[in-house]
Amino acid sequence: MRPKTSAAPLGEFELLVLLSTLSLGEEAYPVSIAKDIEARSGRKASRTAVLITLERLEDKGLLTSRYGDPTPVRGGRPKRYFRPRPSALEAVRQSLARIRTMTAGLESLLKLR
Amino acid sequence: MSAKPSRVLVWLLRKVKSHAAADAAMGDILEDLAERGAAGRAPRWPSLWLQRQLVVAAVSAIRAAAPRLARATGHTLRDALRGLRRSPAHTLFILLILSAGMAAATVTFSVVDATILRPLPFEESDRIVRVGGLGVRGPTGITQDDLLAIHRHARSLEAVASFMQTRTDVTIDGITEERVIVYGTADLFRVLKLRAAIGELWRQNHTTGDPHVVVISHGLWQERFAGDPAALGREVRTGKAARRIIGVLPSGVDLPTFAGRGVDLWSPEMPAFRGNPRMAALAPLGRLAPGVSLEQATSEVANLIAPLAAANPSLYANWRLDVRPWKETLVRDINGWMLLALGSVALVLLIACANAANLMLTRSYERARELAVRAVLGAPRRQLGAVLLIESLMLAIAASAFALVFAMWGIETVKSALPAGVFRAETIALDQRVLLGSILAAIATGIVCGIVPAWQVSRVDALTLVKAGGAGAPPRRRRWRSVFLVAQVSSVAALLVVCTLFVASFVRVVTIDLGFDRSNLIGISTLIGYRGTITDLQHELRTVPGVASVAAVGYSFPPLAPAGAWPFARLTRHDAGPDEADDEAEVYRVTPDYFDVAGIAFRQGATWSAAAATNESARPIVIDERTARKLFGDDTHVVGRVLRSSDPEGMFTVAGVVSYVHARGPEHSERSSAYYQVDPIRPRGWMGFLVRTSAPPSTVVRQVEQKLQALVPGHHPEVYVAEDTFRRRTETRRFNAALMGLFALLAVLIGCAGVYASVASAVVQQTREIGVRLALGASAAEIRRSVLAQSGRHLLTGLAIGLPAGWLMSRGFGSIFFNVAPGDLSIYAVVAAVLATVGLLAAAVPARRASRLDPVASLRAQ
Repeated sequence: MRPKTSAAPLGEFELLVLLSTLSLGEEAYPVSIAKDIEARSGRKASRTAVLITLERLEDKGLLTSRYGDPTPVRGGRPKRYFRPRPSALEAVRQSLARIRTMTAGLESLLKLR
Repeated sequence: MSAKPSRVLVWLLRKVKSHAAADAAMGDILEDLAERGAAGRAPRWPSLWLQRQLVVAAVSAIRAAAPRLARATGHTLRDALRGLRRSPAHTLFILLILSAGMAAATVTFSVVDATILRPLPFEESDRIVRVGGLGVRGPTGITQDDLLAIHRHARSLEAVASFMQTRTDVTIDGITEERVIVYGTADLFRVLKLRAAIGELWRQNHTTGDPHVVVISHGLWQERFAGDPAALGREVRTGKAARRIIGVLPSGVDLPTFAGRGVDLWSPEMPAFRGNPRMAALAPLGRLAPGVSLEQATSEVANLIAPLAAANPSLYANWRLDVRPWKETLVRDINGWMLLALGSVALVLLIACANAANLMLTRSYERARELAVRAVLGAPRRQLGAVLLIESLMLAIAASAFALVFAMWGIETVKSALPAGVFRAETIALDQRVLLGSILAAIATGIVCGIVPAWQVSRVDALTLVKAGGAGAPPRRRRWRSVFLVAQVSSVAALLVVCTLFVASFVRVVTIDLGFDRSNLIGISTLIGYRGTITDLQHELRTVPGVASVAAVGYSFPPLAPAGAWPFARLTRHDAGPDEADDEAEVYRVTPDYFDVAGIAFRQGATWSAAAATNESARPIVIDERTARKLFGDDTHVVGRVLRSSDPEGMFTVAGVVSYVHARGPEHSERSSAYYQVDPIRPRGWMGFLVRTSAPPSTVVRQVEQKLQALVPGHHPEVYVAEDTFRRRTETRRFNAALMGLFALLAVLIGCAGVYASVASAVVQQTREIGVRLALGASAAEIRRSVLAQSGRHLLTGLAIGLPAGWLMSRGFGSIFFNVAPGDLSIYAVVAAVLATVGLLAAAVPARRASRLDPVASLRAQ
């Protein structure tokens, strides 16, 4: 198992996936997360890409996963739910802070707000 | 739901992800599919879409895992390498025995396959038979009349042809060279099923109408005509005859009988033979007609010959027809010992593999404690198993690489060491299939030896492993070790028996008393065309520096002549009745000093005086002890008795009895010899000479040749050193004794190391037991004795199985041994003594180590 690196910077897609996981709470699994990202950010997110990102984040120690009960619509297969660890909140916070720091003073140029 | 995930893809996904994760991922895909359907965005081919998604999922999982896998593999490899490096002696030893065994097997099989197993290079070559005969002295031929009858009437043979090969001077474009020529009868090419590359091959009409044609080999065509089709029609002179080239054979076509030298020319002209038809000894080839068996052909040919035999019973006395596959007749001399060599090397390989396996297993068990500690510290079981597996595999692969090098070197060595005239020796090459087979065997050994402990390590729980820690093997394993040790000793014993028989045969061949003294002896065979008397020639030869004495042999060949036909006579007592014993003896017409020069000892009497030569009424004869015994029994007064001889014809008075002479080498002892006087004044026909030298014969032989060329210009008699011919005659024995000696040495070394390793690891595993016994007061000598006694029991059991097995193995091959029978008890005594000594010595080292254990330390170690 790899050591946790709470300070490890997140990629953009990783940040989106983590944010979506946070907002979906108990209902965060690859399909719902992919739909959530597409619906809210307008960015196309494939289910496979989401799953791989989730697994990578789990490897980094930011997420844990558990298996739910099988459902008929899924051909009797269980859902794999992901839940953020406390370190995930810290990582998101740091990533957002970095973005804020880097965009400071560029608001008018970037037409933010 | 109509679309179903493909089973293969599901299996694949489950292989690259955990079972649950793979199921969840599949659930995601199915849910996605259902939702797309509900939203009216269903894919056109749902099933295809589903499978594609599965592939994408699997591929991305593999991609994501790749760096991790590479890292893990790297660690496993590193661990395995470390493991090997930690015990270099052990590693090196496994490498050596495995590679030596593989190389020996590959080389031997390559040789045996190239020489005796591979079919002859002709179409349906298994249908070509040799029609010959068996006489008192072994294989012989049929007469020309027999051949004619077969050729005209045999239906079971598609074609019959006779041929002979010889070397002759061939002139092409004014350049004369010695070439190999085949003289064949009309159907030779039909029997061999050959077609011309260009031009045509001679047929019936050529032999009868136009004999002056010739077919040349592809090699000669390329060499002398640079492959020019205009070679057809060109003239070739063989001796005095001019011949026209009518065809060229395809490349690679050759007769497999002249070892090492291809046939250059094929001429449709059998030289006519006059004289005793039996001496012509034709052994023609025939091609079995479709659907005809060997037995059917044999019985038809026998029926065709029967009337001829009835008309001339004396010619066919002691003769019977012998039709057998051509290849069988070609490999007759080497078949037996080559097959035995193959069997022996298979045993060597088996012993090598078994030992390597045992050593690898022992090692893996010894590492069990270390692996257990790592398992406790959290190393995944699978990885620990993989380390063991990869370690064994790496050893096997490295051994294969070594084996390849050894085998390439071995093939060249064997090719240069093979006796001259071994059938197809020049075609021997490293057999890639066999090498591949050996490599696969080694890798399989590696996998098996890696998997067994790997499997055990991965299924026993860590605590048990730590407790067991390499010591205290389960009883079942001890029993296996005993079985292994016994099997090993018995295989080595069986092999040693066979090898010792070969070596003993060789020793007996070279130490046999030939009946004459072959050191410092030069022979001259077939000197033709000398105008002077024998006495003159003897005198001339004596003037050559280094020549001590010279004796003559007329109309015959001196002993150990490289080739020759010996005429023979029938001898009877002059007063013998029709039913009384007679003897066939080879005729030597010699000068009186012959016995002295040859070093032939007189048992009775002496050579005749020069004066006796003129006495026509009582011509002297010297016979050997075998003839004397046969004709006169144990009579010690044979000198003065009178004999009747068939050719030369007449009555002869025995002047002396000499020891039996093996004139053709140690392994020929068919006929006796009879010595008649030669007229030294009026030589006729050919003459041979024996020259005793005072200097090493190799330094004198050249000068003798020069002298003879000066005396008889244009004629090149064969001048040979007797010792050289003797060496050539015993070359096969020398070679197979060396080969089997090497196998024996390999087997003993490997076996000895195996005994050592087994006993050593048994001692290691009994450390606790030995510690307890020592603590309870057992003395060091008692411990040593008990370890040795255990090994001794295994050795004895192994010998009890192995010695009879060796006897069984060699029993069928009794005829290839010389003056030693497979049942010879002394052989078994020697083998048993050698193995017992070597085995006990190998066990003595670990026994000594066991007796020196410190009881406290050995118990604490547990």
